[in-house]
Amino acid sequence: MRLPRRVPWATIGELDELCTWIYADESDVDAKVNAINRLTAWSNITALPHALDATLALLCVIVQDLQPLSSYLSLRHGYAAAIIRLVNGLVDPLQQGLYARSIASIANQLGLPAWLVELRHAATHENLPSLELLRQAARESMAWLLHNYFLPTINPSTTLAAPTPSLRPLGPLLKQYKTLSKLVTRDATLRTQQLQIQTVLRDVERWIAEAAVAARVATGVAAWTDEKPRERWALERLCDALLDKAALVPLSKKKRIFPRDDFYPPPAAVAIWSPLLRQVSSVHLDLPFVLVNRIIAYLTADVAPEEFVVISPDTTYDACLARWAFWTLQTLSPGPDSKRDVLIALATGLGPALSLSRDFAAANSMMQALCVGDPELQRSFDILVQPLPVRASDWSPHDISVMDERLAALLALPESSVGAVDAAPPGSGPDIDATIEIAPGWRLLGSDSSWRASPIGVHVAG
Amino acid sequence: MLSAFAARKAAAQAAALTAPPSPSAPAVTPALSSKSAISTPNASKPTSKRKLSSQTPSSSRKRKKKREAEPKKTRYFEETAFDPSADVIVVDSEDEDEDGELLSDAGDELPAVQIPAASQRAYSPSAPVNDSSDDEDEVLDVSSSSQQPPSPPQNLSTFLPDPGKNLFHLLPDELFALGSSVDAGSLFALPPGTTLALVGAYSLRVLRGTVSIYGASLHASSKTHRVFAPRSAPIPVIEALHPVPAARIAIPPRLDPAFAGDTAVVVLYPLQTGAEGLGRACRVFEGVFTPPRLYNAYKSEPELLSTARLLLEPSKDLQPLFLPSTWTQALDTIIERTEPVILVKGPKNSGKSTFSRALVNRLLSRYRKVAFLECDIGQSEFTAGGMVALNLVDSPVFGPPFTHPALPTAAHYLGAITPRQLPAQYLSAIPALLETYRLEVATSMVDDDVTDGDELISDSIPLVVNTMGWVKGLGADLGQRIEEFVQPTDIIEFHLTASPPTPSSLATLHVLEPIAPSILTANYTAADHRAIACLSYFHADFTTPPAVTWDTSRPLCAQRPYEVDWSVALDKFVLCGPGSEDVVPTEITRVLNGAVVGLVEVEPGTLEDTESTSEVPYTQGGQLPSPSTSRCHGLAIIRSVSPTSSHLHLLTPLPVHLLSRCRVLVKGEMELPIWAMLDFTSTEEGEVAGTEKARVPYLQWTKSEGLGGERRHIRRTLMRKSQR
Repeated sequence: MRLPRRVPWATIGELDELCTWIYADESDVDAKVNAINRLTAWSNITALPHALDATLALLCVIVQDLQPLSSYLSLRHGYAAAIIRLVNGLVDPLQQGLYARSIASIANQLGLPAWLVELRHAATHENLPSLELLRQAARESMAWLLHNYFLPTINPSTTLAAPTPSLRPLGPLLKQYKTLSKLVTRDATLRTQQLQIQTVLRDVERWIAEAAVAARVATGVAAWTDEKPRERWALERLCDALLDKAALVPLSKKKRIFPRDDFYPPPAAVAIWSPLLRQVSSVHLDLPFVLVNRIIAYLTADVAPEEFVVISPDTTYDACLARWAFWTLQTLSPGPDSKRDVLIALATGLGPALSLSRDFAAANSMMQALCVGDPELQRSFDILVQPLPVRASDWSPHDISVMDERLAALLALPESSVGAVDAAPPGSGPDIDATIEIAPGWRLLGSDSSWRASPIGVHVAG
Repeated sequence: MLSAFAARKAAAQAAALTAPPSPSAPAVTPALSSKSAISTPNASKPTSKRKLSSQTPSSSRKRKKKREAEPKKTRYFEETAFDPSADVIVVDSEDEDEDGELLSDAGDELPAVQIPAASQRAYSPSAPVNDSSDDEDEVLDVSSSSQQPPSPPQNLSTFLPDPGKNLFHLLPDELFALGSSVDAGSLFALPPGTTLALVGAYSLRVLRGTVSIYGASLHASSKTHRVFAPRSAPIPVIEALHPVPAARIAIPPRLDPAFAGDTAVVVLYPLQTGAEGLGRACRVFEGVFTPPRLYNAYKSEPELLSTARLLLEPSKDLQPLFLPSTWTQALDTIIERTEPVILVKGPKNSGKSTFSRALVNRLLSRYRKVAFLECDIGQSEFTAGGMVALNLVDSPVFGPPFTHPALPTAAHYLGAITPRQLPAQYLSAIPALLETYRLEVATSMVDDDVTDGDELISDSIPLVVNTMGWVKGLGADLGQRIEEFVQPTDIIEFHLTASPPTPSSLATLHVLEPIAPSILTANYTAADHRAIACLSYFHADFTTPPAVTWDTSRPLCAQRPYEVDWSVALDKFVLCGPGSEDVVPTEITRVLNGAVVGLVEVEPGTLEDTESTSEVPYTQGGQLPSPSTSRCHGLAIIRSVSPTSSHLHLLTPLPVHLLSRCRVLVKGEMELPIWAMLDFTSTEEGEVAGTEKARVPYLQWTKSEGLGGERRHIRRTLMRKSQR
């Protein structure tokens, strides 16, 4: 069960009101003070969303700036701290990968003005920027917050037209890797190429981090802090690129020569790709799982009939992928139960009703390979493979009525059990439920008062 | 030292057990052998293996997957951020600890000293202390010689049920003959050394012999003990000890076979307390009182116990409670001491709470009452957290904290789950409670004459002090101050700590091995434990004798509230926590709505005069009541504030007679868990008390669309590209 988020406002209308106080009239100090008071109260209720936290800090300095001051240095410090915290707070959650990305590149993806990032750097490490510059930055930050936080949060529909994430293609990177890796596998002494491979691998890592950021927009469901789904999304894109022809599966059919004794992909391909797969999966532990799932999804997918005509069945491609899945399980496998789970996934993917439009030979052979050496799995596989005799003659109209009866019984159940629970609390007698005066100013409200159950925070006078 | 390395090896092995080693991850050993390896960021690699276990395809399909992976990561990062340095420091500082300790205690306390490395190097005051190079050699020796760290037992129960021989379902007349008022029960005959583990809740009575459970030794008596064994905590294991001859009781003849030989005989009764219903309110803990799915618990005909299942097979989701040998040695030593004051300290998840519980249980087999001072305000043993509390315990606690909430003897509310933001108030609360212990508790005469014919010591009440897991930086300073306040006779230290030695202390130091991280720390986060503790507290009924029960028939939103007229019943609202001084009086009711508050009693006349400008008794920037003149009785939820009158509605499990004494409400950083705001009886997801989910205040089900719409997210773990 996914939990809701705790927000400090009772309704989104309160956020709207706050937004009006802040932005409606630039010169209305009283409204801004109201907003500061409200935000302070909110921050004491629950941790504020970062954007509101930053808004509070900026507003405080801006209001301070409207009054006569004895020290402008403290004002500059106030502005600088607010801006540093705004930028850091926005960028930090997007430091997804193993390595730090430059703040500028993340800010770019966020649409944060680049000079704010520069100002952050200056304010942190260099001379404290001038008051004029800081005031300008505060104004710009407030505008950015209005357009990127307040408006989309108050009117969620306006962001439907959010730009699709621009993700640089992974293909060229993989191609470069393949070329280098091929060279190295032929001649292990090529030192420079090995260094280049490291660079490419790091680039792949960076690509995954970027994709994880892009995923926030692309998936639409995943929340800001939920790293898992975003990493998963990024890995899925990576796996899709790997499943393309000329990546894991050699382009030329002649090169798709499989080892006889093992259910493994062509040795040459393994030599080329295993360093990459190992590297990525050592950082992203979900990779083996995602890769195998992607392959299974591909192998068991029902190709639409019209598509089927166009693409001639490429059986060796399928077989090669199945072998890669098996290889992944054997060498990168995360858990002891993974084989069983994959088998289940395969079996459910294939389903009882075999489609005719797809050749499932690869999937079937993978299932067989998975079962080798495990008597328990083998047994269950044998059961699966056995054609299940469906005896239609056993059915009679009477069965339907039996099912109806059971359905009715089931439907009747929840209500009665709920009723039983409600009746359960001891002391349902009228005396115990009555409102009791306990001490001066203290009353335990009972059923004779007008109080009724309501969500926490809603007042129903007793 | 032996224990430290053995434990680390054990931890590494445990990690290796849960996940196959991946060739790219360097093993743990390099970190032990060379210091240069320690400081490289690569040291984070080994632990990344552990993460693997939660990401097997099998678990990833589970509902909880996402939730468990994230907290785990933070935990792992924090460990790796500090562990390497701990590795280095431990070698030196522990050595100093050892020397300082031995020197200070050289005379009388020597035999009691529990230092695992003692066998490596016998102490003699005249012998030179080994220099550091010797030390390193020794380290290597130790690590290579202790190839076999103590491994927890694999089997939960070694008891093999054989109905009619060692297992009897008691008939009503037999139950009556044994003096039980319960209508069901089972009798188990356990030969010495046999273990018995059940998941669920049950009450336990020892009929013959002695059994040990959760650190306690239970002798044959008419007492029954409540045992809570949810899967969310290590499962308590009942072990039959070698029998002490005990008075024979009248036995129905059918049960004679059970009493053949020198078996210990226990009777288990089903236990209905309502605790199992808490899983409905906090779904993370749903079904923890039943065996995991797909687990074949022992089934018998008729059913053994309606509320607990016998566990025979191990499972990765079930962790038996296992007390390492250093722990039992320490327990054995402390129990012999007169008037012990024991301070338990160590990093988080090292086993402090488990040990403290076992210690309380052990002490209760010698003393009638034990005092427990809780300084871990995040995960408290007896209260819902947010307060430093002193509790008086008179019956052993078999179960995790949420199964035994209790009203504190004295407590001071801080409203935070860590003293990080209010160290001064935190520190001032502890001496106040120690004074209460010394003046009111330790010297109190036992007023009741109920001695049950046993020989428990009742004129002395030992004190157990549990500390927080924050042992770095300011946390270390706070720990040091607490130690000075407490003046313990014994200090329990879990070895990953790199705390500086206290040469001034006269206490005996017991260095214990930390427990290896388990699946439980992965499945349940600290926040989960806090949520269930909070829900357990607010659903608890402290008025039912003999022990607390829970009413989970309705959610908190449907519980009858107290209507409080603050113009009559309350003197003051106090806010504490960072930023609270800026809350203006016009906003105070907004802040209070839906808040968790501490109910504080303040001595009359000591409250600073408040010139309230509004009708709400609140002044901006008010101070917490001084611990010397106030005490917190418990927590309440302000479920709503009237917008028009001076009324608010409170939910609190506090007994009625305490309520009117609490005239000050303190609101800190602590928030109501989201689970507590939901309605588990509604059929529609998110519907609360008949209000559809979009209209429930303070809860948002849709994701935030704006940028920066989430709370601050802290990570300290990034590497630069050059750090490869």
